[in-house]
Amino acid sequence: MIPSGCGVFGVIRKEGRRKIPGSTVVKAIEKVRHRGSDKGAGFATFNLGEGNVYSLKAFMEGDPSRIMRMLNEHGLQVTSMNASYERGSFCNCSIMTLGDVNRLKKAIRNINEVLWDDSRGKGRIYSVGTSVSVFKDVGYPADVARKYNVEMMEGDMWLAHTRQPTNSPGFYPYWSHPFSTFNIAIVHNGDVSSFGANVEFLQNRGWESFVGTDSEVIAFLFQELLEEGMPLEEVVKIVLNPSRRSSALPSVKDYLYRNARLDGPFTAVIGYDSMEDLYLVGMADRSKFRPAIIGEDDDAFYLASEESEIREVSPNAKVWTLKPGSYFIASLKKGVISRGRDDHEVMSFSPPPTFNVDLFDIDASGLSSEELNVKLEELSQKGKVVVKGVNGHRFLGNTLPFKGIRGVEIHLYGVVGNSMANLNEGNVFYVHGNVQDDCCDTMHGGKVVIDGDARDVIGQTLQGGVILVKGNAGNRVGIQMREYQDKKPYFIIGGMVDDYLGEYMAGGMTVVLDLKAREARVGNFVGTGMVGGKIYLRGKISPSKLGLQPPRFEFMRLLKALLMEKMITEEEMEEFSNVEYLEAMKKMQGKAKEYSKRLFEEKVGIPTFEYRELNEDEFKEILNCATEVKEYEEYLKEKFTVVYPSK
Amino acid sequence: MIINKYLPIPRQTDSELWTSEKIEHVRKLALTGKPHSIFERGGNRIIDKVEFKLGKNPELTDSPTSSLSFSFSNIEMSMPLYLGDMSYGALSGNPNITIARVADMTKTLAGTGEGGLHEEVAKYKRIFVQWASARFGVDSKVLKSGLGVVIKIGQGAKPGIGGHLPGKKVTRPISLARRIPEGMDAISPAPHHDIYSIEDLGQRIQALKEMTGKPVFVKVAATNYIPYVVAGIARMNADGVIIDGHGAGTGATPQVIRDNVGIPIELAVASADNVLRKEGLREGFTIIAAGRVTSATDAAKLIALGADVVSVGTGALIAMGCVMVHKCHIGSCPTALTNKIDGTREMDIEFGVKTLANFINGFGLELSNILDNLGLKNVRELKGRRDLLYGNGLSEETLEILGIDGRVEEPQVKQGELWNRRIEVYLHELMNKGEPVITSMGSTSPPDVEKPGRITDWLRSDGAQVTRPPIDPYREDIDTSFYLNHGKIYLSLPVIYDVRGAPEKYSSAFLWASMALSSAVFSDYANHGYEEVSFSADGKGIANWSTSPKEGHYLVVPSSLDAIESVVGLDVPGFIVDEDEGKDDLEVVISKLDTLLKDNGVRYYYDILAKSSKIRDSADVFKIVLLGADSTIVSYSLLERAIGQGSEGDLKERAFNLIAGMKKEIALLAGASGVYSVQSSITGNRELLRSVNLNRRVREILRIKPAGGL
Repeated sequence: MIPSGCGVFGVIRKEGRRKIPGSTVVKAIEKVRHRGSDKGAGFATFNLGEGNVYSLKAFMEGDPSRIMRMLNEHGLQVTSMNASYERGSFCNCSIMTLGDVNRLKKAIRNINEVLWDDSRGKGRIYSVGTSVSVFKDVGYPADVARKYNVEMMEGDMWLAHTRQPTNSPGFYPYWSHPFSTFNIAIVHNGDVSSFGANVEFLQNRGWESFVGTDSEVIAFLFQELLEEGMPLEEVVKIVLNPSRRSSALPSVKDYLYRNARLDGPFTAVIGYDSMEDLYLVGMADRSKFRPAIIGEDDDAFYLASEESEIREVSPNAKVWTLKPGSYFIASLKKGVISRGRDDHEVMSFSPPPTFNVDLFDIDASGLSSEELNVKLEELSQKGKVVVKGVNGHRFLGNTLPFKGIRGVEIHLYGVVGNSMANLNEGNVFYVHGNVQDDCCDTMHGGKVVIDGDARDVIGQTLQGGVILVKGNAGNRVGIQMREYQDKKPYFIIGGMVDDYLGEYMAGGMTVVLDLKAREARVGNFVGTGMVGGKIYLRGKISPSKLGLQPPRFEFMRLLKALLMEKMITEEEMEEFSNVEYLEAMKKMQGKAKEYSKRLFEEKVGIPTFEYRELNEDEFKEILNCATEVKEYEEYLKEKFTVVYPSK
Repeated sequence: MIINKYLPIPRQTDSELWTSEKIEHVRKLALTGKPHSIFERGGNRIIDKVEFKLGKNPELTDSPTSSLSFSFSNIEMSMPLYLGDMSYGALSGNPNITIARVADMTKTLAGTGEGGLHEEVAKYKRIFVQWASARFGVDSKVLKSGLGVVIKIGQGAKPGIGGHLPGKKVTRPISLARRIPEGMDAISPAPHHDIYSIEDLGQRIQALKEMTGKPVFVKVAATNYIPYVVAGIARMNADGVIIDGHGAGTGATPQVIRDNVGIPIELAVASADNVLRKEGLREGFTIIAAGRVTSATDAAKLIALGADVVSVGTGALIAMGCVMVHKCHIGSCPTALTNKIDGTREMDIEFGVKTLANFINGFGLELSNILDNLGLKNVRELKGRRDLLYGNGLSEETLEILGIDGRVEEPQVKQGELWNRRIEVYLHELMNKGEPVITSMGSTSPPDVEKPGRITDWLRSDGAQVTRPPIDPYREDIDTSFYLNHGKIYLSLPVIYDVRGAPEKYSSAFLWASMALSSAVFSDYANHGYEEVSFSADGKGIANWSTSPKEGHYLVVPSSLDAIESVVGLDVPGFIVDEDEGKDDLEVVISKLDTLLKDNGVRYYYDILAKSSKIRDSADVFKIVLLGADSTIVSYSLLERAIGQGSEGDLKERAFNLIAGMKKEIALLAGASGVYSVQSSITGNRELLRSVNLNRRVREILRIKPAGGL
């Protein structure tokens, strides 16, 4: 397999709204040009119900009439064919054909097998369907768009991709996204570790030819399962590979499709034409290793790698993120089928940011990230710098500590890109809007206040200073925080958080208030591997959310074995079976506890908890850090679930 | 206690890469500063079978003429030598200071590793500081120190595995350098949680460059995708890469990872250099080759295969007195190199400086002598000169990957003993602790040091580097469970324990432990109370087996290619391939059966269980599952071996530990390869396996790729 990294974008119009112009799509994907390279980009457009012929596109080396002959041999009638020679004998052809749909599917598989290994010159059919059309090549998105005139087209639904390959065999565009199989197209960001297993599953089903990327395999898995007659949402659930802990799949299904599931990092955006309706699907892996942002406005739904892509084309869209291991589905006719989290959560994401402010020192629009950083350094002696029009700019403020600049107050309006305020020492950042991933990495001092939402991995190895996020924070928030001598970090969140809050935490205080809910909403695995510090969650949180715990079934089996050896009594068995694992562990003693720990806990570090009010010191300490928000004081008087290491 | 002289080298009872002769060689250099020997021969590594083509008998002089100096990334070097990335914490302080001082003295380079910057080390200029997943001791001041920054993604001794310095080793000096509280565990996550992909790495490289204005290097373990990974790193604008090969030294690593994950540096360098050239990315990009560089001769071969610089770690330790007792992880190093920092035992810095500087000078003189013998004027002329090399008895594919000509020899699959002391000691530890066995220093496993005893010994499992994150096996939701028989049977790990013929106390120990840990036993009769964990022949267990085809019964077939030909279409839940019966290797028969069922489109209706008393450990299990088995059946006698001549103790507890340990080690192997769901992503996933110089015919039957290939 040839691994690559990427930026993705998808959009589907709402029913009754006008078609989406290609220019919008190009603008959005060009915004994350830095995620890709000149080694490959592509677009797919879907227009429902258009055309009664099948449209095929192929790249190939040599004479394209070979494909025509092969189609004829499969009983398919070719109505038209256009071919253009692009680089020497390398040809890009577009073919219209008539005939039976099943015959067509078989023909394409077969032709691709023959072409891919053809000694006369490799070839590949890369776009197939009635309503889907793929445009891809080597180059940046803008280059590919120019070549195919993408900006002048329109579509009910679009996918777009910019590719960052680790290597690229020659100039061939075979490995550019989107990948398409019958009426399905996909763009993908990630490197699927199950690739080899997925190929085995497909081989068992008779698929023989692969260009060698995981993304193509995802498209084939979708086609294979959809052809069994499985509903789209069920296909998504299987391919998404939910944890067995959640019992999301019945064991018989889990068994039967055991090599048809994806593993490792992936954010996939899939377009599908069922012939009656169009569907846009977005999936995030269970750890949400790749970013996935959803947007909605009056006209359309958007899926993107970065919020900046959506803001570029719809500044006022409602924006939220996919929950780890979840999926988004919307259709042209039915609207939203799954939002990727429950409605209350979606509602709690912050409103669109303001990009404009009357008094400002720098207008970031039109500036690159590096240029903006240089301006920040230049103006730092003012003591306060106001920047408007920030959208996706990365690394902001990172150079200040290296230039010995401290004590500056920086106001940023808009959407700040990845890796802001890394290694911050003594500067203060106010983000009037949202901030993308990896904010405040290895921060030693100073303060960062985010008015809106923060995305994933904010505050990694935070070791001094204060972070205050008024809205929601994402996945793996405040991991590896630690304190040392007189340095202690504080992290206060006004909204909710996803999984792995405070993983590997070794010091400091993290507080989740979540003002918009009855009690703090947190994802799973809070404080896993924690060795120090404290996490304060407002309200009574289920112990099942804390740490990585053994599967229920295995714990019950263990209890049974302990009872057999009389290490626990019948009564204890009864009692432990009816409480959460953490509660049972608090009560378990002696040899029984040793065995339980040896199986599940020894290196994992499962935290423990108390449910109580803050003591006076805690109350003051936290309040001191969050003077910006008056109403926090009332919330801090409530009871908290306080999580800390069990050792 | 001050250590200021060499201790005697203990008699080596196991196979070692660092044989007494190799250690003596280093000591001779370190005591004299003069060249001792070049073009040494012998050994099981691939690189040992790569020789320089020499027209005449080699000559060795004290004053060779060719030059070793050159520069990269504006760093002037007196010779292509990097003293590799040993952290403060892994080493005990004085060795760290020694290495940094000697790097300045000899105009070479030293990597600081991930322990923060010791204030004495910070005084020296020629260092590369490290940006690792836990950011221990990193701030703007540290990043501004030294000549460059290394983003550490992985290391050869434990690809895909994080670090864990136990609280008891975090003494005050360590706490100061790492900026963590005294006595608190220091955990380094397996991945950088801001780098899950190639474009994430690009972002971090760019950020560090913008901040520091210094060259940025990326250190990775050599694993399956190494050519792609290196190409990606170059494309992301890093100044160079440190590739750390299989078998590199370490202060602590899970043995199962050290011995089974990662590929040899010679294959990695040759293949990375090749891809970089093809992609037009080689110019201005530096490859530092690390892992098992035992001599100037090794260094010269690696440079001829495409490296710019070689990294020496263990060699430097040996120069400072290391006697290779593999005790770093215990903190009781007799030579005070890697012991716990509590003031009881210290290496004398002056002694270390003298021996290390001598060693480096001697090493340089040997390298220079090699160049003289090859008729080259400068070490840069050697770079990429594959035409000077000759492979003496390597498989055809290995020669192709190395890009050299030579004498083809497709090796015999079984060359060594199946069981040896390394495995017995490992099983003993596993049975006592119920935790993955931890060890230190480089690997002694097959095929590079010990001779392979079965096919699995030639196979390497993947370690995720850069293109995808490894998954922390301890703290993430890695699922080692398997559903068998259409989802009716749940195993918490793909291992069933065969207790047929076992003494009663052993079989009852495994019955109980299988219940406690949701495994199962393979037996003739299902014991009362244990039906739900029994695969039995009496129809009373959760699953039934039979040696003749019988509806609803797993069919036991001998491990022979003839026996599996007629099984397609049988109305049984699955097949048990028994290596104790039959003449063919289990790996081959399992892979063939898996392929056969797939060719017939029926694979997913059946289970394939691999049964053998010759499955030795969790790595064998893992590899056999990668080759297509849905689970394995191993013998109770593993526990007998683990006990050996010792006392039996509490057999139930020991069986429990053995199963729990295997389960955790399987999670380690899965996590290292970037997998959450062992059953769905590992079963039959040959893409995660690579073979090292394996006989081509066997490799093709197994349908796996050769290590270093594209």
